[in-house]
Amino acid sequence: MSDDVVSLNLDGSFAGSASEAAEAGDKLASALDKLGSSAAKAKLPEADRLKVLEKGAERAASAVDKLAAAQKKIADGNARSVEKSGFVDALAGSGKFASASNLVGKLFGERAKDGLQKGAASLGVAADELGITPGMLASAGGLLKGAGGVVLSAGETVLKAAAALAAAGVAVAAVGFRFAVEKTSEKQIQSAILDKLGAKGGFELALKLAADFNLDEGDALTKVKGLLGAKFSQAEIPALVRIAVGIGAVKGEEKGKAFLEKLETQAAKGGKASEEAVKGFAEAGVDTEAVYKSLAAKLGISVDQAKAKVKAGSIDMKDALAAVKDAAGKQFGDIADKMGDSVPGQINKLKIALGQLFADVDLGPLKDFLKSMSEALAGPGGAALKSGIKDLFAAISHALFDPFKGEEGKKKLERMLLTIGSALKSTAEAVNAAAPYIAKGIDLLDALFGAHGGANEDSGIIKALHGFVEIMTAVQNLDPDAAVAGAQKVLDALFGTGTEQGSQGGGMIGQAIVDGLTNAIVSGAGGAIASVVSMVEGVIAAARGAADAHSPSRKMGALGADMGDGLTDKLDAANDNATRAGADLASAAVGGAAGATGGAGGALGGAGGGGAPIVINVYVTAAPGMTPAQAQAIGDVVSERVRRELRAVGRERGERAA
Amino acid sequence: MGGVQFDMRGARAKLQRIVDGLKRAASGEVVERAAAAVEAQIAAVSRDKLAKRTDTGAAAAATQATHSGGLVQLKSKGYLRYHRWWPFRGGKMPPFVIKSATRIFAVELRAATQGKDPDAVSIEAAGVLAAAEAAETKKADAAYERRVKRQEAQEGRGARRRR
Repeated sequence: MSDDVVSLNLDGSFAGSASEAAEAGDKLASALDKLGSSAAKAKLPEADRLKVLEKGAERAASAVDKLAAAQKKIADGNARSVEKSGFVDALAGSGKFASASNLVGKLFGERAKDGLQKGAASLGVAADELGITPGMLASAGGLLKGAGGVVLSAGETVLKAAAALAAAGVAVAAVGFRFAVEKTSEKQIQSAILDKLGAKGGFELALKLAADFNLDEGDALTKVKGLLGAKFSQAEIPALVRIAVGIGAVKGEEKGKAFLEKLETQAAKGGKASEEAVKGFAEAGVDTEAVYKSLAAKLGISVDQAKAKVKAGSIDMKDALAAVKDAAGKQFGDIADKMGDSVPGQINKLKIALGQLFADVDLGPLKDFLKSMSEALAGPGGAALKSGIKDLFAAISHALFDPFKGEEGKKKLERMLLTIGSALKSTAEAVNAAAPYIAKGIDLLDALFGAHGGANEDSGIIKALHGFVEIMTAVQNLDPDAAVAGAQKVLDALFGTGTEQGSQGGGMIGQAIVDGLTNAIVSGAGGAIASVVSMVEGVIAAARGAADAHSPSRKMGALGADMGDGLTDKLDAANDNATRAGADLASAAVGGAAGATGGAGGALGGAGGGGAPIVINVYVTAAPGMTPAQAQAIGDVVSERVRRELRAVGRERGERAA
Repeated sequence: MGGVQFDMRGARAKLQRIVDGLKRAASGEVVERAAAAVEAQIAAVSRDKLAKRTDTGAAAAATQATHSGGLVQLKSKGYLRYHRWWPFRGGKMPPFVIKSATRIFAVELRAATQGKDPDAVSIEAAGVLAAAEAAETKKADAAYERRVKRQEAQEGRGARRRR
């Protein structure tokens, strides 16, 4: 006898179905995000305004895209740009651009002129990308209300101003130029201030001190200006700055600053030195004992005598300050020297020296240009430009806002806002309606996979397990209808769906569960989502596609038939065969018995209904491969059939007799 | 203008968890693990029965459980199908194996979608099933009590009528 193979398939198209369900879930999640975002917008009190802004942002983005495209072409150095120089000619007037660029060439050199021409040509490319043509500008009479000519005239002036910008755009040359302008201007301004203070050469002195003691140029200038103001000579200043820098390094910037301030104050005060004045320098970090010692040495007296004289107010301020300078110089001077000699100090020195290379350029032409420009702006050209800009803005304002002027405009605006508001309201209502259904659907899904499957009898998972028990019982009883009912119960418990019943089709365990899950995603969110405009229509379509438009209950319902490779089919077939065989036998037997009873009828009738019992023996011979039990079962079936037929015959006879 | 008060963040997170779990399940590892467990169970059942009911060991030697993907198969001697004690008689998978396979699969799927250890989920599932059985028993007991009462009532009415 051959071997038997028993199969159980857990797979089917489970993986595919799980993927489809996950995909449908992904789409639903994405739709939820959109829904949430839409809800958030709907919640805002001024959502209509937001909507308008949003549209504006879209338009701006579109414009930016166009600009970016134009810039890209410019960056690519498109050869077309040269051809487009005609645009500038048309805008500025024939020959006017050429004269403007020549002016730039004279002022800033050939590179600046090239830069201007390239920039102007690029402007033409950009205008081309944006769909603007010189013709459009020139003939914009309707929109610009006749300002076309003014704008063109203003354009010429703008181009002249652009020349300076284009020059600045010529990388290295422009940077150097700007630096030179700054340095030269600074030198000229500071020199003018110091000249005013009667200290010609003070600017150079400040730069020297900055370089010697690693100071910022501005800081050195401030110190020099302060000391010159206090009537110190240019010869005295380096020593004093040297001390202040040393104090600043040792005691902190504030002490160094305080030292110079006290020095300036006391020098300005003049007269006799007081004990307080000397003590005041101690606050700036100067050792007063050393000051008295220096003073004593200078006057040829003892330290105590020097102190007594200061106390008595008999020492000149000039002598006292000289002693302070001497003592502080010994105390802090060498530190400032070391700072100037450090690497940062040397770098600072180099930086100052390099800066000075650019400090004496001729700014005359630039000044003339700026002056001309100012005068031009103040004159008829500037007035034309101003008028052009004014007219342009007025025209734009009219174009944009005139449609909303007056009562009619107000109504238009109201209609617009009402439409937007109504659309948002509908969306908000739809979102409100959809959200709980979606959440319910997800909660139901969670009942299957989530943590809610506790031992609560009412929980979805318990009800589902009841359904499973029913399915299993149905399988044992070979009752497909009961299996379908059980499967229905499982689905209803898990997903709360009213899925149709059926017993066709065939599916695997996993596939059936996943189909049910997909169906839940569809039906849990379905009806309500459909109303949320077209936002989630795609999800529904996708999920319905994933569900293959069949009720999962069919597949689950066929559980008994499919699991176990068609559990009932062969067994039923075997039973059918046995029953058929038994029926055939019975039929033959009954036919024989009926004949016998019919033949005996008269005799029996004559006997008045009595008579001996009839004994019929049924023998069934087991066919090859049939077990004794099966043969016995067939015998039982036949016997029962014979008995039933005989009873019918008896009843018929009794009725006839009656 | 309508405001939306419903907070969907929790629901969104749940959905994401389920979707992630389904993706893991779709990779095939759930089916593979479940099939391996079912195969082990079928092999154990067949081994046990054959050890108790056969003497020579020839049937046991010829019996072999295998699985490939989600398909679990048991190969055995053909004559075993005519023995009432053979669970796989008639070339059929017995209902208790199907039931158990369903449970194993459900546990593995749940473990995958929850990102939990299958053993922990199995314990959880056992608790759930026990609760289900208890509920079923309770329901059956209640039905039995109702039937008995109805019968007693009918008997009482009959006795009164006879009197």
